[in-house]
Amino acid sequence: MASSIAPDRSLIAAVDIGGTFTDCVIVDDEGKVAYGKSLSTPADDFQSGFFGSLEAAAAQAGYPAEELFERLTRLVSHGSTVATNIVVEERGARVGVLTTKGHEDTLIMMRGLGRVTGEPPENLLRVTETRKPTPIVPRDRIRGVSERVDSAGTVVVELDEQQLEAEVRALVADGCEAFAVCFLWSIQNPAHELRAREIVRRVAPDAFVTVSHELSKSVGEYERTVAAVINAFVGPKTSQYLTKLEAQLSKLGFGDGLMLMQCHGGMVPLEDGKDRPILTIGSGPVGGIVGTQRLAADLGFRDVIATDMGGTSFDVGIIKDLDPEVAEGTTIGKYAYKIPAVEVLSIGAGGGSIAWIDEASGTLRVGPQSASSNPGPACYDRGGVEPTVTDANLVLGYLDPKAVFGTSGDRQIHPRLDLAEAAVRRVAEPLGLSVTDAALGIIEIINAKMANVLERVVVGRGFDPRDFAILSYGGSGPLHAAGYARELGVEQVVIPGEVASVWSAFGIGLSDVRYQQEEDCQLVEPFTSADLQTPFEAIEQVLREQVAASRVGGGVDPQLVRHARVRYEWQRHELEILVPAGELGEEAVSQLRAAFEASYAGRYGAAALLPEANLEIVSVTSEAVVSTGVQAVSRTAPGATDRAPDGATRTVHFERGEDGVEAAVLRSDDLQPGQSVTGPAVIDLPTTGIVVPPGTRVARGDGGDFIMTFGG
Amino acid sequence: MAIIESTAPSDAEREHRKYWNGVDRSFIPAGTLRVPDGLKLHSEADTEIDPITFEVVRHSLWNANEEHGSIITNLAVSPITLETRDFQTAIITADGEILFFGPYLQYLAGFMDMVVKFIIEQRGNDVKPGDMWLVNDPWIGTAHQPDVNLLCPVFVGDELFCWVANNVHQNDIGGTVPGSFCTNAQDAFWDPVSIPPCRIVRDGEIQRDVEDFYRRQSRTPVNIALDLRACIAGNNAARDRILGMAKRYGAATVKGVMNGLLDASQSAFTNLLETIPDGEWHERCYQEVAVTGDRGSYRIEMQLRKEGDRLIFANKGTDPEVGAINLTFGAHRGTTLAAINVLVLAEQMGVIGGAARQIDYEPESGTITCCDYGVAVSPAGVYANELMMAMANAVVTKMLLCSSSEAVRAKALASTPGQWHLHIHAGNNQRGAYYVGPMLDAIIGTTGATATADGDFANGVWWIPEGRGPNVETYERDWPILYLYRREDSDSGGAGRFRGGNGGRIGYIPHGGEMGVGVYPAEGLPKSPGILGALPGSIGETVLLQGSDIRAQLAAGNLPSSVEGLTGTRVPTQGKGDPLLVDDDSVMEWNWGGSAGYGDPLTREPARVAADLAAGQISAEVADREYGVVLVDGAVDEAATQERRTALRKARLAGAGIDREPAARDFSVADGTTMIGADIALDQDAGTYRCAYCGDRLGSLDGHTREHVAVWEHAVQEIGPRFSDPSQYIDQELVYREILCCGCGHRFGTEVSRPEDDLVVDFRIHAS
Repeated sequence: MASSIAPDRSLIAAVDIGGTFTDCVIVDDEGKVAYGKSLSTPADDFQSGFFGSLEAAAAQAGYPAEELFERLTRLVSHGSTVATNIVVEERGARVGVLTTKGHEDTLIMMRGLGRVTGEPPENLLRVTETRKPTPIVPRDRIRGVSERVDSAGTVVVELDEQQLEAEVRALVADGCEAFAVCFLWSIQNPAHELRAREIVRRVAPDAFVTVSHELSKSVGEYERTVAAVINAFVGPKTSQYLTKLEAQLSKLGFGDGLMLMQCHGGMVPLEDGKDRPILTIGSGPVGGIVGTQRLAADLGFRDVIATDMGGTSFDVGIIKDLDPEVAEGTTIGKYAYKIPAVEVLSIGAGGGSIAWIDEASGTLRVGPQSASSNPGPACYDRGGVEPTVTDANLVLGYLDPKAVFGTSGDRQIHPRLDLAEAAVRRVAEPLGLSVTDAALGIIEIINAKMANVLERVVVGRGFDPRDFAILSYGGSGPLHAAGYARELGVEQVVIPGEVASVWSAFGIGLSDVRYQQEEDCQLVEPFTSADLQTPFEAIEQVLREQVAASRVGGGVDPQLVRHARVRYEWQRHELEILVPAGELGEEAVSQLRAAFEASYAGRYGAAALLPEANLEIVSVTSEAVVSTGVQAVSRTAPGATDRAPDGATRTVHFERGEDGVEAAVLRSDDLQPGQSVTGPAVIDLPTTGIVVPPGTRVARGDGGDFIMTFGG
Repeated sequence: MAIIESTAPSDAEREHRKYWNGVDRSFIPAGTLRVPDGLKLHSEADTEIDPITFEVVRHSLWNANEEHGSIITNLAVSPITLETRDFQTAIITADGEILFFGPYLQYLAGFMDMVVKFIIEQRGNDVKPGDMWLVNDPWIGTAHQPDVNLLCPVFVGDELFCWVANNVHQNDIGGTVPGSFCTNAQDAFWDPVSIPPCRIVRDGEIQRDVEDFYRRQSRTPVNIALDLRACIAGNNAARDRILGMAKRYGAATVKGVMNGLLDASQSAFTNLLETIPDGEWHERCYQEVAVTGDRGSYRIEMQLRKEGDRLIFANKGTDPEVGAINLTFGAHRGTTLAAINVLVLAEQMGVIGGAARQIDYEPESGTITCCDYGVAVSPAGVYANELMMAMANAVVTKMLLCSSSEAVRAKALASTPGQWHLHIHAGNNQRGAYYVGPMLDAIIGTTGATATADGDFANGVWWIPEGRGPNVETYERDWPILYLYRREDSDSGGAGRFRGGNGGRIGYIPHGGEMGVGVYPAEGLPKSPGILGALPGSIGETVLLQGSDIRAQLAAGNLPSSVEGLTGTRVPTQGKGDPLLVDDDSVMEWNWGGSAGYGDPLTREPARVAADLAAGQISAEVADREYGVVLVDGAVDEAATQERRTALRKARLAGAGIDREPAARDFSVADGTTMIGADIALDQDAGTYRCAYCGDRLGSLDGHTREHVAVWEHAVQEIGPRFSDPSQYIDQELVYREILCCGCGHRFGTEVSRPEDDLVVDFRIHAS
């Protein structure tokens, strides 16, 4: 096991501000880790939670907090929750939108998807019960400006600067403090957007201004407008929070600049990310995917499904060939946008999912309604009476009945078994089931739903889930991992060491610095390697300048990674194909086709190929990666573990219609690296537990990870 | 469950099979399914399945169907498929009942089960594992030829366990007009080819001969080849998933869950029907212009009857088949099942087969809505299906409004446009490639009003829940066009106590290639009926300006927001007319219609009218003329509004020949009275329907709600600013009718009709 972090070591720290907890992970230059948790504090702009988590981690590492700041060589954070909360709670800036005249309704129309976006599948057909949201920017603050560029980037109508200035003045008079500028085809020719920004800055020097082409180079004005509007909506408040944080850090003696985690899976220095707070949305969960990617590499897996089950949601990411899958789009609330991001799909399934009886079929259902954190599961004794997944876990002995959730004070929760049983009885009795059988049913159903989602996500991308390992983390994940993994036919499940409870922060800490550039192109076969080379060169020139100018770029020649988004002509869905760096030879075009066909056939079968169809390159991206070289030798930390009393057991239920079995109860230190346990067993971890069904084996790896394999 | 028979058919069955044979007329399955000896149907099913396994299998089946849909959207290329989600995926039982149906185009619900029955009965000995059947014959079961079914039998051992299937709209499958909506088709031989069930996949392999024949039909053969592969991949995935379940849980258990789900859908439906009294609901619309060059108008009727736990749809009084505005029985049935699937049984998440057991049809063959073989049907996806969809929507909504359950009444929704408004252009794009470009902006949509809320602009189209509106940039990237504007079209939603959602308006010009426009809206008659006195949604129109000064305007920095103010010649457009020839100086404007409203607009809260006007959703003219709201500096003048509304009611009565002051609206409806909406009270003691405002008698309870009403007939273009004189398209006279309370002038209905036609009977409740 890891020893204390030595006092002369330089450290890096990562902080992940979540809805309930702020997590911190510290890694020293020998790769040893420590972590801390603190309640998130939205009331003071999340500041005390931020510093509280750092202090807790420092304490675990074994030295005073003040020393921490002197030793820190890098501090990575993300404002994910800050920005997300602003959107969800609709308390962002008063935004004015400037768009191409004649297209003012783009944001209002929402492509006709406002009603269904973000709704669970159960609601899709409920036409009269679900509604379009109130527009995030009302129509009278969306102003059309006379200007037009076409799909080739040619100016069709010059920008009417006088009109634009008049609109900006009117919006300022109306109280707008932030501006989003989105003109049609700015991705092909950004001149009008750039000029508009100059004018806004002149007229309203204090306003926060976003231009759409800097956030996204994807075709599709609706998603680009949403990106610009959300960025402007969260911009002023996020800036304020970061400025405050930076000031406090420098007061504490932290000399280096703050880094920000981004949803594309890398971090950037604060000064390079401040104008684009939208890139922090979703970056916490993406941190989890980066952590998964690193762990997969350490353990020798290439294909891993990352699963994070919490109280209200089940988040899924896919690592294929050690690369995270890229998102086609991002949804926040009722709004969809498209910016470069690692894919994390989320469904409403978690510990809080409520079980109920469908009258028409007389069968048990679970979700999509959730008791969420308020009132929470019935066993929390906070007024909830409906049976939830967490209640079922408690009834079945999966959760330690003496567990304590939360950190301290009145936020601490001591779950009550009697309340959980009473809640589950509400569905058990009408169905003629025992309470434990009903609880097993709830678990079986939620596991099947999660397995189905995983299958749809993985198969939908053309992969076979059986080729993957599953990584499970989050407050509820390890309780269910055996269940949903088996449903899928996956052979191995990895539950990282105790760091699992701060997994996103851990991943953020291991991230590299990344800068990305994308260019829309409309290349349809036949094209030459020179046609392909040109757009890459253009964006790579920009990238090199960007890295050179950055705080981390001094003397660094970044590694450039190229991708092209390729499809058959007229399709609307692309595959991302790796393109070699440097000068492309004549063979590059045929190589690209071969790579596309291999990927396409691998996903959809050789029969899906149509050699006579033209390929189309929709866009190219290049990414500059500056590796930080941070490694973690283990996923566990000193002092984080304890031992169960020798021979401890409790009654745990696995099979419907059968009595419970006396299962071994372990805590993490009961299982040293190299040791293993075969179920029935439960491994109680802080705030969660690993359920080990009969016949399933769990071994502890060198890094402190738990590796579950299924017999037979 | 289908009755599988081995005994000799009765005379009636023999007669049915001979008549509804899918050759001379539409195929309508007989009540019994006759399975040939060479095909064994799997029938072993558990009846005692615990409620947990049941749910796990249910969710997995639903998931398999969703996965099927994801694969199609990832791999298909037809923009109609991808944007309007003009496709469907289904799991169908071995004997042809729809188990799960996806959240895509809903009216495709109505025939995939029928096609399965046809294949079993007509090709049963050839139904083998590893095969897939392609069918686009509308008389056997599809909405029109471009909607191609691909059905895959799923075998457990040597027994047919179930089917997985999809139906995907193809961008072009031939016929006289690019895009295959052949508005000039004189008969089925101008339409794209109709292909009865043929095996395009055998033992897992695409049959080259069949595929080559299929590709040869299309102007864009590579596109349909890619779509075919998408459909095969989708079926393969769904089939493998179901076989995995059968292996894991046992085929009998999976089959038992399938049966249980259908039974649950059936009982959910009959339970809902118990809240509704027996009765009849009726709708009538007119389709103008049967084919290019025609100037006629054609009556379409839909009747819905409820008798106990059964519903019966009929088309009595519909005009004989004509031109290219027809549809076959399958498409007709599809629109009714779509309304049931979404408006009535949304909670069932697409399990429609159980409800379908309770629904009967009494179609008259040889009519526009149940045409015989040989007439043209390919444009149905723009005209006939949408009109039937709007009508099915209206009759089902009227029925729901009669429920004793508030939750059921809350499902009532006024109709969306009864035509699919779009432009389909074709030519060579800016890259020099041949293309067919359907502009599907109408999927951005609009919703009708409910009994308690306004409809919404850009709220999707309810019968295609997952349809997604196109980005302007997506179209401009692939097609040689440039949008000038795309925005909410004020006054296009039907005025009412609750207003229908507005539609949209688009201006665009050709840009950088060569194109002509083959299909475009040019409508004279409304087709989305208003409910209980509200106005219908607007019609679709096209303006073509030739020789305009648009290029000079753009060069001078002027981006127009309407065709008004541009110079040039307006070329008259004709419904289903000849292709529009456009050049660099042409400008086109078209709109997608708004939805219908609910209730008499003179009962709308005046403050809502003021807000609508301030938001630009209605004009001052409509605020005054339809809503009778008087505003002073944007604020409602209550007294003047009362006065104006009374004057409007008086004018209505005068229009109907009743020259007196309207009766006082002070009738108080006794507590516990059964109501239809807030407007019609059922006075059981007196045996009459009464106006809920003035108490005037509307009809007797053993008759209907329109026996004693005043009718004001006037010109169609007087419905509102978004309607025009139909005589530009048709020669026959049609009138706009307002159906009024003889006492107070309250409006109970609006309709467009031939002067000689009877009133539509809105509500006829058989009081028990």
